[in-house]
Amino acid sequence: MAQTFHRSANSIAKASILGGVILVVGLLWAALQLQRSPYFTYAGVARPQPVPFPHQHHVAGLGIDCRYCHTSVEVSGFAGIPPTKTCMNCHSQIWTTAPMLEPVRESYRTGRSLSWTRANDLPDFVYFDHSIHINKGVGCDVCHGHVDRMPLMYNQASLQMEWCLDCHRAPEKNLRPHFVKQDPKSPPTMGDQLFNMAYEEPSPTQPVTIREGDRDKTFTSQTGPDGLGTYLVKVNNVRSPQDITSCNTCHR
Amino acid sequence: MNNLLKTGNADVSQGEKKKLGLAELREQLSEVRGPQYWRTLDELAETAEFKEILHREFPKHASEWTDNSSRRDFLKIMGASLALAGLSACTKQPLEPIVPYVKQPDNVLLGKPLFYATAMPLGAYGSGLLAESHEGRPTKIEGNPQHPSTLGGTDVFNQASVLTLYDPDRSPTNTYLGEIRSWPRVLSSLRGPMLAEKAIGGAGLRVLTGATSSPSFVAQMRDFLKVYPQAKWYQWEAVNRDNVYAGAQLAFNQPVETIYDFSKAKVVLSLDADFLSAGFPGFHKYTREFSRRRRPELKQEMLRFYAVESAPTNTAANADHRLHVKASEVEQFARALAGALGVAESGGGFKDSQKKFAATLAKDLQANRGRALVVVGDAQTPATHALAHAINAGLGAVGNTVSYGDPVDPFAAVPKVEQLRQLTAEMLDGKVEMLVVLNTNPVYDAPSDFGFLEAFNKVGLRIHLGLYQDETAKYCHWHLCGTHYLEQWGDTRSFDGWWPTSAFFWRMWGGSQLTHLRFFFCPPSTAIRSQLRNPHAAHSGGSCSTSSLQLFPLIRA
Repeated sequence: MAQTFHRSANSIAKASILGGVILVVGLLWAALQLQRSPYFTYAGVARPQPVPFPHQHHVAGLGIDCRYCHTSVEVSGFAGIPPTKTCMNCHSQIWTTAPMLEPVRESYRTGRSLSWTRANDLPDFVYFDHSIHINKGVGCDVCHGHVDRMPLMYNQASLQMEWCLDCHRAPEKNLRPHFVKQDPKSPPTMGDQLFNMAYEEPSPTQPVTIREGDRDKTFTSQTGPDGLGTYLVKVNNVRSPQDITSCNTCHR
Repeated sequence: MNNLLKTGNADVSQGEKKKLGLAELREQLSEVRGPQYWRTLDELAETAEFKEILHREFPKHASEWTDNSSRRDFLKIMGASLALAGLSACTKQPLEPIVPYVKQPDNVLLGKPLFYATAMPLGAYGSGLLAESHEGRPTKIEGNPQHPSTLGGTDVFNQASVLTLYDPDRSPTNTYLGEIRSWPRVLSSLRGPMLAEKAIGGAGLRVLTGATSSPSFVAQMRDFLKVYPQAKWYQWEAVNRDNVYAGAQLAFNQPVETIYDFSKAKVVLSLDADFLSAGFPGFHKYTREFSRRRRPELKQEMLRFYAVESAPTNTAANADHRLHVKASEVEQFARALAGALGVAESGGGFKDSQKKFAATLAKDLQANRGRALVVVGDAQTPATHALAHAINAGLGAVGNTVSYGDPVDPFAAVPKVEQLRQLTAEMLDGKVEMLVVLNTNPVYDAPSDFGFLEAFNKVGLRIHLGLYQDETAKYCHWHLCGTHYLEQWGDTRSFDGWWPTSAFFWRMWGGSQLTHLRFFFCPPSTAIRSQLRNPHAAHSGGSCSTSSLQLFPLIRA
């Protein structure tokens, strides 16, 4: 009796099953990659703002500390965006007629706030507290990137949960001391290293020395049993990765 | 039922109601059984209207599925919908604005609340509180531990008051006969009538407020009455303390404020007094003191509490010995007790059901002279209050567990009911041309036999200021939206005479502060201004200060 199906139906069947599985998995993978991409996360993408505020000029150029504007970062969960008055502290005297600054002057004149676009935007179901991060030794540029090199503000990181967990699983990777012993040969750096965008992690070629009580302690690595990060985890009482990766730490 | 429809009369035309007599009904129902019985009378009558309703609700063929797709297809589609439902979240997080201040106020740390000392008036009594504020918006009321009257406690009314602030049903605008009016319009419209009244010395002008102990308001009203000498100021409060002050009048020939000290008491008798519930003046302090005296480690020194209650209350639930009497019988009990203690002439004996309780009680009170206390509920008769004063005096409680002071309400001498009666009479006589009602609702809570509304409607110009467009506002020409205590400066007095001031927060609706309205009626006296400048009397923001001043001469009875 004649076969209903041609011989090639065998291979077509196998190929289509395998192909189907690969297609579905591939689609899923593509979707997840898309979801991680800057298209969705705005990482590296400057968002539209009412005034093109350049951090590069103000921080690197003028040397203004982060905390001059983002005032409550060490004490509150919310770091704070400067009120118009902070801008006008200087700009009532310099660049007083610049067209770029007209929205700022108008805001100060009329009493209507400037409506900035939120760059570091976490979903509402996430609880994030700045002060604990600062107090445990996480520097500003670890999460926000080299803001002092940004002509327009953007996120360096995707701010997705996997990115947060990456550090929370091994906090020693990203901790730094507040004050270090200055190497007389290098140019002097800012006092508090958390707010120093040029901070370099300790390495064999560039060790970092800190003062512990009445002794100096030098570190040549960040992680590892002799690492500066491991030492800071102990000294700053950073909780174990098990604690800080539990769900209710951030999803309260 | 189908049978019934079929056997219905065929000659019933559309819209014609068929008359059904009892005989016809019986005949119709004689053959039917079970599900064929009628469910509603309309169904039985088989009116055309009912058939229409029935058809609409249960259309023919409604339960039939004539579609070709099978159950399998249905499940397939539903399953796919369920699986793909999560895709609706596959969107970009929308851009979010972040809006800072223009000029950030001092002390405000975004993300951290500030606590301001404030005071909530409830009737004539104020409680010192702390309001937790986030960027100027009060979100939670806490007790003020530094306040001597409230000692860090709050009651239900305090806690609920912050919700009243954000009540969406609050009136947001001023209205005149239902139409919105702005504040400048209000002031310009009222200027004419006020000037007319001024010309006659305010003879037709009456002001009705709630009970208040606010010294600044009282002083302002006094100035107001100097400008309008013929005008009168009445107060009405539905849940008032008339009987308390009347009882004090009977006992001491003047109204006094009675302050209890449970920390010194060993035996306490409550005559229908709910002093462990919110609303009783001094609740915060009494609850704290009472509970401190009830700790088991005190053993023999623990306070013993007898309660004579007419209804189940929180207070009675704490009693060691409880007697249930009708509220009207409490006075008789008090009389008998006074007689048994030898304090007053016996006005009768105890009922049989009360004898055992009373015997123990009397013995206990006698045994603890100087450490005993009798508390009477606000709603009891003046005679009961006077008897309690006598019993307390006889037991040597005065100066120990009881002390007296000036009434917190400056108008305690005239009962509120009398004031309202007077006002109603004047309104009926047509003597009142202009009535200003501030923060009270007499149309709702005046005694029903006053005929208040009828008299109220005779007044030529009626102005109401309050938080809500309530029953009184409905019958007034003008309704002005009032401010909540958390939105205005003000002051009040607590049950033991401390003078806390209330903090001013972000104004919700742009309603005028009550003080603005008073300023309109007459300029503020210099006494008020200097008082507000006094750092002790004025609120100090940002710190948990008491901001209160004691003005309370004590009367030793």
